[in-house]
Amino acid sequence: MLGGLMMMNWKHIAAAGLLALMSPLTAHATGNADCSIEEPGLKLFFEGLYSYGGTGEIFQSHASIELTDPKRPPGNWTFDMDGSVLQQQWVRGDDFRVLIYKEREGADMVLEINAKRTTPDDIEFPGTYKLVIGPSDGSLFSRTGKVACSAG
Amino acid sequence: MKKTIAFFSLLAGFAALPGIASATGGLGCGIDDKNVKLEFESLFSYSDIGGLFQIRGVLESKDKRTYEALQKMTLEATDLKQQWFRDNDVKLMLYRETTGDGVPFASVKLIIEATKPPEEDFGYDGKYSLTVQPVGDGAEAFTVEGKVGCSAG
Repeated sequence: MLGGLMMMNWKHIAAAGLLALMSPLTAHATGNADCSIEEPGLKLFFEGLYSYGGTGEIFQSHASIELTDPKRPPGNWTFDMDGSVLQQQWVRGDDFRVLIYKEREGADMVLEINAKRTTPDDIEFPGTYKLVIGPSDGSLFSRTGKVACSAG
Repeated sequence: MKKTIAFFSLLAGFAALPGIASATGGLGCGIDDKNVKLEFESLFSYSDIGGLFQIRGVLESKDKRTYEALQKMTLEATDLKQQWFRDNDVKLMLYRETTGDGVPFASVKLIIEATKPPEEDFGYDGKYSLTVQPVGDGAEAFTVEGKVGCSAG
Protein backbone atom coordinates (compact mmCIF):
# COMPACT_ATOMS: atom_id res chain seq x y z
CA MET A 1 0.00 0.00 0.00
CA LEU A 2 2.76 2.42 0.88
CA GLY A 3 4.47 1.83 -2.40
CA GLY A 4 1.40 3.07 -4.19
CA LEU A 5 1.63 6.31 -2.33
CA MET A 6 4.21 7.64 -4.70
CA MET A 7 1.49 7.82 -7.33
CA MET A 8 -0.83 9.67 -5.00
CA ASN A 9 -1.60 13.27 -5.25
CA TRP A 10 0.93 14.38 -2.68
CA LYS A 11 0.66 17.99 -3.68
CA HIS A 12 -2.97 17.95 -2.55
CA ILE A 13 -2.15 16.32 0.75
CA ALA A 14 0.81 18.55 1.44
CA ALA A 15 -1.21 21.62 0.53
CA ALA A 16 -4.00 20.60 2.88
CA GLY A 17 -1.54 19.98 5.66
CA LEU A 18 0.17 23.28 5.11
CA LEU A 19 -3.11 25.13 5.04
CA ALA A 20 -4.11 23.56 8.31
CA LEU A 21 -0.79 24.43 9.86
CA MET A 22 -0.74 27.96 8.54
CA SER A 23 -3.93 28.97 10.29
CA PRO A 24 -3.60 32.43 11.73
CA LEU A 25 -2.33 32.81 15.22
CA THR A 26 -4.91 34.34 17.45
CA ALA A 27 -4.78 36.01 20.80
CA HIS A 28 -5.21 32.68 22.58
CA ALA A 29 -2.52 31.82 25.12
CA THR A 30 0.05 29.37 23.87
CA GLY A 31 2.02 26.61 25.49
CA ASN A 32 4.63 24.10 24.49
CA ALA A 33 3.90 20.57 23.29
CA ASP A 34 6.56 17.95 22.77
CA CYS A 35 7.17 14.23 22.51
CA SER A 36 10.39 12.30 22.86
CA ILE A 37 11.57 8.78 22.26
CA GLU A 38 14.94 7.70 23.53
CA GLU A 39 15.74 4.04 23.25
CA PRO A 40 18.40 1.91 21.58
CA GLY A 41 18.16 2.35 17.85
CA LEU A 42 15.81 5.31 17.87
CA LYS A 43 15.83 8.83 19.18
CA LEU A 44 13.09 11.25 18.27
CA PHE A 45 12.09 14.68 19.41
CA PHE A 46 8.94 16.48 18.31
CA GLU A 47 8.08 19.96 19.48
CA GLY A 48 5.56 22.66 18.73
CA LEU A 49 3.38 25.36 20.15
CA TYR A 50 -0.27 24.91 20.89
CA SER A 51 -3.07 27.20 21.96
CA TYR A 52 -4.66 26.76 25.35
CA GLY A 53 -7.90 28.25 24.20
CA GLY A 54 -9.65 28.04 20.88
CA THR A 55 -8.61 24.97 19.02
CA GLY A 56 -5.71 23.52 21.00
CA GLU A 57 -3.95 22.71 17.77
CA ILE A 58 -0.18 22.29 17.49
CA PHE A 59 1.55 24.75 15.18
CA GLN A 60 5.09 25.87 14.40
CA SER A 61 6.24 22.32 14.97
CA HIS A 62 9.48 20.62 14.06
CA ALA A 63 11.04 17.26 14.74
CA SER A 64 14.29 15.39 14.56
CA ILE A 65 14.92 11.67 14.30
CA GLU A 66 17.96 9.47 14.68
CA LEU A 67 17.14 5.96 13.55
CA THR A 68 20.12 3.68 14.01
CA ASP A 69 18.22 0.40 14.28
CA PRO A 70 20.38 -2.14 12.40
CA LYS A 71 17.27 -3.38 10.60
CA ARG A 72 16.45 0.06 9.21
CA PRO A 73 16.23 0.55 5.44
CA PRO A 74 19.40 1.62 3.65
CA GLY A 75 20.35 5.28 3.73
CA ASN A 76 20.67 8.14 6.15
CA TRP A 77 17.89 8.10 8.74
CA THR A 78 19.16 10.92 10.90
CA PHE A 79 17.52 14.17 9.89
CA ASP A 80 15.39 17.13 10.92
CA MET A 81 11.82 17.80 9.84
CA ASP A 82 9.76 20.96 9.64
CA GLY A 83 6.07 21.40 10.45
CA SER A 84 4.90 20.20 7.06
CA VAL A 85 5.39 16.58 8.18
CA LEU A 86 2.58 16.87 10.72
CA GLN A 87 -0.26 15.29 8.78
CA GLN A 88 -2.79 14.61 11.52
CA GLN A 89 -3.19 15.64 15.12
CA TRP A 90 -5.69 15.33 17.91
CA VAL A 91 -4.67 17.15 21.05
CA ARG A 92 -7.73 17.55 23.16
CA GLY A 93 -8.71 16.63 26.68
CA ASP A 94 -6.62 13.67 27.74
CA ASP A 95 -5.64 12.71 24.18
CA PHE A 96 -2.37 13.55 22.49
CA ARG A 97 -2.18 12.00 19.04
CA VAL A 98 0.19 12.94 16.27
CA LEU A 99 0.81 11.48 12.83
CA ILE A 100 4.03 12.40 11.07
CA TYR A 101 4.79 11.56 7.46
CA LYS A 102 8.05 12.04 5.60
CA GLU A 103 9.27 10.91 2.21
CA ARG A 104 12.88 9.87 2.65
CA GLU A 105 15.40 7.72 0.81
CA GLY A 106 12.73 6.70 -1.70
CA ALA A 107 10.51 5.43 1.09
CA ASP A 108 7.49 6.57 3.06
CA MET A 109 8.02 7.04 6.77
CA VAL A 110 4.95 7.16 8.99
CA LEU A 111 5.21 7.78 12.71
CA GLU A 112 2.06 7.52 14.77
CA ILE A 113 2.04 8.65 18.38
CA ASN A 114 -0.82 7.81 20.70
CA ALA A 115 -0.44 9.28 24.17
CA LYS A 116 -2.93 9.82 26.94
CA ARG A 117 -2.92 11.84 30.13
CA THR A 118 -3.50 9.59 33.10
CA THR A 119 -3.88 12.26 35.77
CA PRO A 120 -6.30 15.17 35.31
CA ASP A 121 -4.58 18.49 34.60
CA ASP A 122 -1.20 16.79 34.41
CA ILE A 123 1.08 18.02 31.64
CA GLU A 124 2.55 14.56 31.04
CA PHE A 125 1.06 12.27 28.39
CA PRO A 126 2.70 8.83 28.36
CA GLY A 127 1.96 6.69 25.33
CA THR A 128 3.14 4.50 22.53
CA TYR A 129 4.54 5.01 19.06
CA LYS A 130 4.53 3.02 15.85
CA LEU A 131 7.13 3.75 13.21
CA VAL A 132 6.64 2.25 9.75
CA ILE A 133 8.93 2.76 6.78
CA GLY A 134 7.75 1.39 3.48
CA PRO A 135 10.43 1.24 0.82
CA SER A 136 9.40 1.21 -2.80
CA ASP A 137 10.23 -2.48 -3.08
CA GLY A 138 7.26 -3.26 -0.84
CA SER A 139 9.14 -4.46 2.21
CA LEU A 140 8.33 -2.84 5.51
CA PHE A 141 10.38 -1.79 8.46
CA SER A 142 8.42 -1.20 11.63
CA ARG A 143 8.99 -0.87 15.31
CA THR A 144 6.91 0.12 18.29
CA GLY A 145 7.68 1.40 21.72
CA LYS A 146 6.95 3.96 24.34
CA VAL A 147 6.87 7.71 23.99
CA ALA A 148 6.72 10.54 26.50
CA CYS A 149 4.74 13.61 25.52
CA SER A 150 3.92 16.77 27.42
CA ALA A 151 1.79 19.81 26.86
CA GLY A 152 1.77 22.79 29.14
CA MET B 1 -30.36 2.80 4.04
CA LYS B 2 -30.44 6.59 4.00
CA LYS B 3 -26.88 6.59 5.22
CA THR B 4 -25.85 4.29 2.38
CA ILE B 5 -27.58 6.42 -0.23
CA ALA B 6 -26.01 9.56 1.16
CA PHE B 7 -22.60 7.91 1.12
CA PHE B 8 -22.79 6.83 -2.49
CA SER B 9 -24.11 10.26 -3.45
CA LEU B 10 -21.02 11.67 -1.81
CA LEU B 11 -18.77 9.32 -3.73
CA ALA B 12 -20.51 10.21 -6.98
CA GLY B 13 -19.84 13.84 -6.26
CA PHE B 14 -16.18 13.17 -5.70
CA ALA B 15 -15.96 11.08 -8.84
CA ALA B 16 -17.01 14.16 -10.79
CA LEU B 17 -14.10 16.17 -9.43
CA PRO B 18 -11.29 16.62 -11.91
CA GLY B 19 -7.79 15.40 -11.29
CA ILE B 20 -8.46 13.11 -8.36
CA ALA B 21 -6.13 10.15 -8.17
CA SER B 22 -7.80 6.76 -7.95
CA ALA B 23 -6.22 5.94 -4.59
CA THR B 24 -8.48 8.37 -2.78
CA GLY B 25 -11.71 7.93 -0.91
CA GLY B 26 -14.34 10.26 0.43
CA LEU B 27 -15.25 11.11 3.99
CA GLY B 28 -18.49 12.90 4.66
CA CYS B 29 -20.29 13.87 7.85
CA GLY B 30 -23.79 15.21 8.29
CA ILE B 31 -25.89 16.80 11.02
CA ASP B 32 -29.38 18.18 10.77
CA ASP B 33 -31.13 18.80 14.06
CA LYS B 34 -32.60 21.75 15.93
CA ASN B 35 -29.16 23.21 16.69
CA VAL B 36 -26.85 22.45 13.80
CA LYS B 37 -26.84 21.70 10.12
CA LEU B 38 -23.62 20.32 8.72
CA GLU B 39 -22.71 19.05 5.29
CA PHE B 40 -19.03 18.14 5.43
CA GLU B 41 -17.19 16.52 2.54
CA SER B 42 -13.53 15.71 2.08
CA LEU B 43 -11.14 13.37 0.36
CA PHE B 44 -8.54 11.14 1.92
CA SER B 45 -5.81 8.89 0.60
CA TYR B 46 -5.98 5.17 1.09
CA SER B 47 -2.39 5.37 2.23
CA ASP B 48 -1.30 4.90 5.78
CA ILE B 49 -1.53 8.65 6.30
CA GLY B 50 -5.22 9.21 5.81
CA GLY B 51 -5.16 12.98 6.11
CA LEU B 52 -8.18 14.84 4.77
CA PHE B 53 -7.99 17.31 1.90
CA GLN B 54 -10.29 19.17 -0.48
CA ILE B 55 -12.51 20.12 2.41
CA ARG B 56 -15.86 21.56 1.48
CA GLY B 57 -19.35 21.90 2.85
CA VAL B 58 -21.56 24.13 4.95
CA LEU B 59 -21.83 24.58 8.70
CA GLU B 60 -24.87 26.30 10.12
CA SER B 61 -25.48 27.17 13.76
CA LYS B 62 -29.20 27.64 14.20
CA ASP B 63 -28.95 29.45 17.52
CA LYS B 64 -29.65 33.14 16.96
CA ARG B 65 -27.03 34.12 19.54
CA THR B 66 -24.39 33.07 17.03
CA TYR B 67 -22.71 36.06 15.40
CA GLU B 68 -24.40 36.69 12.10
CA ALA B 69 -21.33 36.17 9.95
CA LEU B 70 -20.74 32.79 11.58
CA GLN B 71 -24.30 31.48 11.53
CA LYS B 72 -23.96 29.86 8.14
CA MET B 73 -20.55 29.46 6.60
CA THR B 74 -19.08 27.72 3.64
CA LEU B 75 -16.30 25.50 4.89
CA GLU B 76 -12.73 25.99 3.81
CA ALA B 77 -9.61 23.90 4.41
CA THR B 78 -8.38 26.34 7.03
CA ASP B 79 -11.48 25.69 9.14
CA LEU B 80 -10.30 22.15 9.86
CA LYS B 81 -7.99 22.77 12.80
CA GLN B 82 -7.53 19.22 14.03
CA GLN B 83 -8.27 15.82 12.58
CA TRP B 84 -7.75 12.20 13.47
CA PHE B 85 -8.90 9.70 10.88
CA ARG B 86 -7.32 6.40 11.77
CA ASP B 87 -8.56 2.86 12.21
CA ASN B 88 -12.20 3.15 13.31
CA ASP B 89 -12.01 6.74 14.57
CA VAL B 90 -13.11 9.97 13.00
CA LYS B 91 -12.33 13.06 15.02
CA LEU B 92 -12.69 16.49 13.48
CA MET B 93 -12.44 19.99 14.85
CA LEU B 94 -13.86 22.80 12.73
CA TYR B 95 -13.30 26.31 14.01
CA ARG B 96 -13.74 29.81 12.75
CA GLU B 97 -13.54 33.14 14.49
CA THR B 98 -14.22 36.66 13.35
CA THR B 99 -11.40 38.60 11.76
CA GLY B 100 -10.85 42.14 10.60
CA ASP B 101 -10.38 45.59 12.05
CA GLY B 102 -13.22 46.70 14.27
CA VAL B 103 -14.96 43.36 14.09
CA PRO B 104 -15.92 42.05 17.53
CA PHE B 105 -14.59 38.68 18.57
CA ALA B 106 -16.91 35.74 18.09
CA SER B 107 -16.25 32.13 17.26
CA VAL B 108 -17.79 28.80 16.38
CA LYS B 109 -16.15 25.46 17.15
CA LEU B 110 -17.59 22.13 16.09
CA ILE B 111 -16.08 18.93 17.42
CA ILE B 112 -17.04 15.59 15.92
CA GLU B 113 -16.05 12.29 17.47
CA ALA B 114 -17.40 9.19 15.75
CA THR B 115 -16.48 5.54 15.55
CA LYS B 116 -17.24 2.80 13.09
CA PRO B 117 -19.14 -0.10 14.61
CA PRO B 118 -17.71 -3.54 13.79
CA GLU B 119 -20.70 -4.48 11.64
CA GLU B 120 -20.41 -1.35 9.50
CA ASP B 121 -18.43 -1.12 6.29
CA PHE B 122 -18.72 2.63 5.73
CA GLY B 123 -20.73 4.24 8.49
CA TYR B 124 -19.53 6.00 11.62
CA ASP B 125 -21.80 7.02 14.48
CA GLY B 126 -20.91 9.58 17.08
CA LYS B 127 -21.54 12.82 18.82
CA TYR B 128 -20.87 16.44 18.12
CA SER B 129 -20.49 19.46 20.30
CA LEU B 130 -20.83 22.98 18.97
CA THR B 131 -19.37 25.73 21.13
CA VAL B 132 -20.36 29.25 20.21
CA GLN B 133 -18.81 32.42 21.55
CA PRO B 134 -21.33 35.21 20.95
CA VAL B 135 -20.44 38.83 20.55
CA GLY B 136 -20.65 41.27 23.41
CA ASP B 137 -19.13 42.13 26.75
CA GLY B 138 -19.95 39.42 29.20
CA ALA B 139 -21.55 37.22 26.58
CA GLU B 140 -20.79 33.70 27.68
CA ALA B 141 -19.97 30.87 25.36
CA PHE B 142 -22.51 28.10 25.13
CA THR B 143 -22.34 24.54 23.88
CA VAL B 144 -24.95 22.37 22.23
CA GLU B 145 -24.54 18.67 21.61
CA GLY B 146 -26.10 16.01 19.46
CA LYS B 147 -25.53 13.06 17.18
CA VAL B 148 -23.55 12.93 13.96
CA GLY B 149 -23.21 10.38 11.20
CA CYS B 150 -20.21 10.01 8.93
CA SER B 151 -19.40 7.78 5.97
CA ALA B 152 -16.05 6.90 4.49
CA GLY B 153 -14.99 4.69 1.69
